[in-house]
This record gives sequence, C-alpha cells and structure tokens, in this order.
Amino acid sequence: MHDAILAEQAGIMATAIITDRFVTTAQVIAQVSGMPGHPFAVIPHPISNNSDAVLQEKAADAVQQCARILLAR
Amino acid sequence: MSVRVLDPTVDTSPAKAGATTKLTSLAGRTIGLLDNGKINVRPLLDHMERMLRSQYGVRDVVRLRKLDFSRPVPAPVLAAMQGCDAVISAVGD
Amino acid sequence: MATRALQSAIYELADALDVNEHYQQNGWTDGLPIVPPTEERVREFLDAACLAPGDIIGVESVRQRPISAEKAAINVVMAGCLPTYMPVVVSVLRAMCVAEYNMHGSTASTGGSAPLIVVNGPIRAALGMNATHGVLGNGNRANATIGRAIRLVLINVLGCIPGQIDRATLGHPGKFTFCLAEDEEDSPWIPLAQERGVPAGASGVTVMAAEAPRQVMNEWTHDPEEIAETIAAEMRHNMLTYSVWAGNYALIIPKQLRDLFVAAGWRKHDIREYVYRSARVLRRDWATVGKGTIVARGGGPDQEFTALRWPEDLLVIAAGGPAGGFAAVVPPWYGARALAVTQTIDPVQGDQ
Repeated sequence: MHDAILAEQAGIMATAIITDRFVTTAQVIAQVSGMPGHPFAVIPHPISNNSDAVLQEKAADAVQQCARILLAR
Repeated sequence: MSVRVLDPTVDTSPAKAGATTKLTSLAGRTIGLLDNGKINVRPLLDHMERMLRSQYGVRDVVRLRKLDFSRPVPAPVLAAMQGCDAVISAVGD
Repeated sequence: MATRALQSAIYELADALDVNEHYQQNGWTDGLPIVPPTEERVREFLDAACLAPGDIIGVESVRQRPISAEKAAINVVMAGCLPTYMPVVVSVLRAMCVAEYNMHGSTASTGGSAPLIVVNGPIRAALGMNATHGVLGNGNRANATIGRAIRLVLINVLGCIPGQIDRATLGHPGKFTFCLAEDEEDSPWIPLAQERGVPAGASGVTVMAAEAPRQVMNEWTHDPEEIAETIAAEMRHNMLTYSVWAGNYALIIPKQLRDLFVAAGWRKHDIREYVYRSARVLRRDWATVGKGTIVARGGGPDQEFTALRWPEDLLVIAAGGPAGGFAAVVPPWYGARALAVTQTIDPVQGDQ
C-alpha cells in the first residue's frame, strides 16, 4: 500500500492489491500518509501456498477490482 | 459574545486517488505492475498481465520489481514508473 | 494529544441558538436541536477517550469512508453527551465498522433499520445509564445521547441522509436513538457482552441493525415454556408479516417475566434453546397473512423456515422496569445479512 501511495505522491496513478487480513493496515497506511480512503483491491489471504488455478481466479478478481478503481466514475 | 463551532460533516463525494486524474479506458494504455518479491506474486501478476492485455486492451505492461519487500519502493523503480498511465502494486500481506 | 490542530472548518455565530439554526438549515441534525460543538468541547471529548483528532476510529468498508476521532467527537458533542460517554460511542462505531455488521447495507436500505445498542459492565453505573424503567424509551441522558451520537455520525460523517444514501421507506423512532443498558445487578444471568466474548468484569457494547421492538405480554402463567412460546409466536409473526430470514433477534426481558424464568431454573441458554425450536413457520403459513401467492414457490408449502440459524442467534437481555408481564422482541433488518457485533470497551479509554 505504501508503494502505491508513494507513486501517487510522485504523480502516477496507483493502487495496490492487499490480502484481506491486512485491510485495516492498508487503511491506516493511507490515512497516516494523508490519503484516507485511498482505494485498493482485496483478495483472500494467503497466496503463498495457492495453486496456479487459485492464483488465476484471484488474478481475475484483482483485475476487475483494479479496473473499477482506475477508471473514471 | 460569539461562538466558534466546528463543521460536523465530511465530504461524501467518491474517494479520489490523490491528485491524479482517472482514466476513461484501459485500452491502449501502459500499466505498471510492481512485484514486491513475496512468494507467488510473480505468477499472480503474470495472470493479471495476460488478462489486462486480452480483456482490457492494455497496450504495454511494465513489470517492475522490488528486491526488498520490507522497504519502500526505491527511487530508480519509481522513476521507471513515470511512463505508466497507472501502476498496480502487489501484494500487501 | 490535546495540542494537535483540529482540521474542521470553523463557523462563527452569534450564540448557541444561532448555531442550532445554522446547523438545522444545513441538514446537520436529526431534526432536533444540537449542542454547539466548540473546539474546547471537542478537545475535552477526545481527551476523555485518549484519542488524537486524526486517529481513525474505523472505516465503512463498502464506500471506504473513514471515521476520524475529530469528526466523531464533534457529533458526540452535538448529541448532548458528556465527555465520559465518548469511549462508549467509539466502541459502538468500531463495532459497526466490522464487516459482518454491514453498516452500509443496513443504513442505506429501504428496510429502515436502526442500530440497537446494548451496554454492559461497570461503565453503565459510571455513566448513570438506565437499565430499568422505560429502558426502551426516553428519560436518561446517557441512553438517549449515546444512541443519538451514532445517528449524527451516520448523517454527517457517512452522509446517511433520508432520501439520499438513506433510502429507508419508513424507518422507525429508533433512528433517533436506540440504546439501553442491561440490568446485570438484578439478574443472575450472564451479561450479554460476556456471553459474546467480553471478559467478565470488563465493559462492552453489542450493536445490531434492528427493526422496531414488538412488545408481548403474558401474565397468565408461571410456566417458562408458555412464556417462551409467546415470545416465539411474536417472532413467527415477524417472519410472516415482515421478513422470514434467519438472523439475530434481540429479546429484552424485564423483571416480572425474568423472575418467573429464574424461579423455574431457566438461564438464557434455556430460553434460546426453546425459542430456536419453536420460532419456525412453514411456507403455507404465508397464506394466512395475505401472501398466498408465494406458497407454491421455492420448496413448496411444507418448506420450513426458522427465525434463528442456531440458538446463539438470540440475544437475550435482562432489562426493563419491575412490574408488568412484558417482553420485547427486536427483529433483524434482513436476517443474517447484518449480524450483531460485540466490542470490549478499552479500559485505557476511561472505564473506571
């Protein structure tokens, strides 16, 4: 999350993919960085032991969420 | 005798992503994917790259990588993002 | 902490009455007069909960709206609270930000629910809360203003305004305030918060998205099963006339009926078990309430629905005045789409 915030502060539109266990942490990072409510995509934790099939599912979910975040409302 | 009081409200319009302008479409765009080096992030981003190209018409995907996930993204990697329309950083866990 | 700058815009008005008129005209109240939120008062309230203005109490996750301590404190002052109430309000807001509470869904829905707040532990006496006479009504400053503060935060911080994000068709009076304390002193039963995980001796809040209370009465028996049956009947009625979906029901039992349960050796667990078995309807029962067209649908006329997914879905609360064989059944907004959440009130924040 911090890297996405740094990119934004450098003028590059950015978002992050966070696992659900760390949603609160990501929100706090955004808030203390002066960007409360900065949106991000959430996927189920963990990913480290996922099969490729599961990773593909999570990738599809993440792409959809990121597209929604990056595109104009 | 006057009274000074505080505004109780919060701007409830949709959250804005920093100072950047949103895109109207991903087609033809350059998207950066930042890998923080943790296990399985690369294959996850491989899938996402494929989907961004095939489903959203993204023209270029720039793959970026941090060597130390415990530190913020270093300046050279940030600089490499400058050509991107948007960056997705993965995975915060 | 108290020296950090406040971020909110400041308005300078002639006096408290003008402040109230200004806030009323801007739609910043629940329709009733408010207490002017001066910087001094807001700082007092932040200090009472050991919070810095920029601390984030929680985030409403669907629209990703953060609730800052400063904005919460402003609304808590406006509600007419005392500073010592702030830790309770903070705990309620934290509970409402937990995903399974479903704060966005339950506050925006046409179903018009309101947050039912139950307070347990030593903080009740510290704040002078009411757990007895007219516990679901008016008269106690802490009960009234803690519930009201939550509504003002929903309006002003989350934009939950009738006709805008708040699409409630009817709503109910609990949307002004809906907060009570459990009568732990006159009940041998385990307090609600403790049943739900708060350590014994600590203070806690439980909050749930609730419809209006339905009052039942049974003064014709000492048999606990018959009393529980009256309660179950009201729940069955709710399932048929309002919403059949299983979820958390709250049951408030005042002293007269409570003493009968206790004399028969019944604990909260026994009431839950009985009601879980009895509060059920069949699809065919809808024909008796003008909904005959749905009898042939789904699993057919003999399809069974239960008010509770399991006995623990029933939140049993000892509260109310000493006389009268009444109890109150409080149904959920939309079954298990929103669930009750319990939070311990952090002792650091001001519990005595």
